Amino acid sequence: MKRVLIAMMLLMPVAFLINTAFTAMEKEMSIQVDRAQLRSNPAYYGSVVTNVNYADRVKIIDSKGAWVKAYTARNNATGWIHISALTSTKLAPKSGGKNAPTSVSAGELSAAEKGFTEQIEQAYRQKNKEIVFTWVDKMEKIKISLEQSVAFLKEGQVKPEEGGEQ
Amino acid sequence: MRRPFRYFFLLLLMPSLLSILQGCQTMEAVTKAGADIATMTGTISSKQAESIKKASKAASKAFEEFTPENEYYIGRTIAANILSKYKAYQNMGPNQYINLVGQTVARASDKPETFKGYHFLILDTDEINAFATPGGLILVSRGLLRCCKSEDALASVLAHEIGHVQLGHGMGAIRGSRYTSLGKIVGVEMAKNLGGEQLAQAAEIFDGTVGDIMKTMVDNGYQSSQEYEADNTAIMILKRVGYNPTALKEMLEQMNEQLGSSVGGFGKTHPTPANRLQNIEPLLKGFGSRGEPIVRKTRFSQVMSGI
Repeated sequence: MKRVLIAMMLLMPVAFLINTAFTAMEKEMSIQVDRAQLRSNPAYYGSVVTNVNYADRVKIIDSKGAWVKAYTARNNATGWIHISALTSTKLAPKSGGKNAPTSVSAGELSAAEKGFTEQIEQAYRQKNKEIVFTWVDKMEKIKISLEQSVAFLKEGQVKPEEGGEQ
Repeated sequence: MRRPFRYFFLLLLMPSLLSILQGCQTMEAVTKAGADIATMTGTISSKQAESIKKASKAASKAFEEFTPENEYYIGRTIAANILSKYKAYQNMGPNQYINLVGQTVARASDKPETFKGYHFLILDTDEINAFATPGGLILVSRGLLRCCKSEDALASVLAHEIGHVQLGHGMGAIRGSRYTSLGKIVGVEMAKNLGGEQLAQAAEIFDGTVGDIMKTMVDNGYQSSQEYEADNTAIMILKRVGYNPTALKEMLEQMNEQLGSSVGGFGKTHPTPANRLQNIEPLLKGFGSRGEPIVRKTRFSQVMSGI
């Protein structure tokens, strides 16, 4: 019996360490879109808990279908976000971005991240002056908020018949 | 004495084992998330979900490697190129309205999040045509909008284009070599901003990338199978949001009538409406045409009657 007790006492911290190690290894992902929201429910009609920005790291806590429950340390908040906003790659924050710098060095950036960016668009526009971006910029300014979408569906009496809401 | 010890050891490890298992489950759910949601909600069968997953996998490597930010800059330049061939329709009423419908249904797609969201613009041409650029800038012609006799039909057209974005069809047109050569010039030590020679090289590859997509999107059209997939995705989206999926059928019938007098555009690059109708038929089982609420009918005709 004594041997069991000793073994137990020896193993306790080991088990604890293993457990902590796995918790620490919990999956982290990055926000890969310019701006996104963490929501109270795994649905677009869930209210917004907090905003997250490009390159923010979030801890994955749970998932349901295409929705992931994530924790953002920067805002100290937890909420649901659609998987399409996330990547497992570490991303470098935009210069002047709101988020704190991460430890991503230039060497760690993927070729794609370094490749086609605003700088390349500028180079392209210099070379192709006949291609005009005026209406591209104008159309990007037409933004429909979640509240507008919800009100629009409600007004038009558009509702899923089979509870197919995401 | 040895036995209880063994059990006890297992007991101690249990929390660790549990967390590993939990982790695996989470990640599995995350990776196969895309099409599963639709199966879960019962909007499509698991067989259809499988084919959607396969279709996404079939998209070229470029689709996987490029980030949403890259897609965004590629998409902006494609849109600018198309807007150099066609004029924008400057009446903001209909443009605002198609954004209300389009951005609302995009939220229910499997790719609701793109780098800077979905945006829609009308092209001032009688030609029946539409272009979905990577990243979600979507251009739709007046000619195509005239095939839509209801808000539900308009939603079906926009959902079809969102389908092309979701399935990565534009990005799939990029030749694999583009990404490889981009990787070669932007050496590992380079900072985010490229200097002289590298910038010129990257800009050239960007040119080629834009050219690849323009060639498929404007000149040759996507493969017929990709058009069918976009139709299937549109029906899935319409069902989720609550628009009547048979509106896609009504729109295709209208298009069939109107295509007779139109040259180029959809007629050149798309499978015939008759073939597309045949493809969607099984997905519309159980959905008849249903009365459209007056308020929806009114707001549609108020804004779109002059199109």
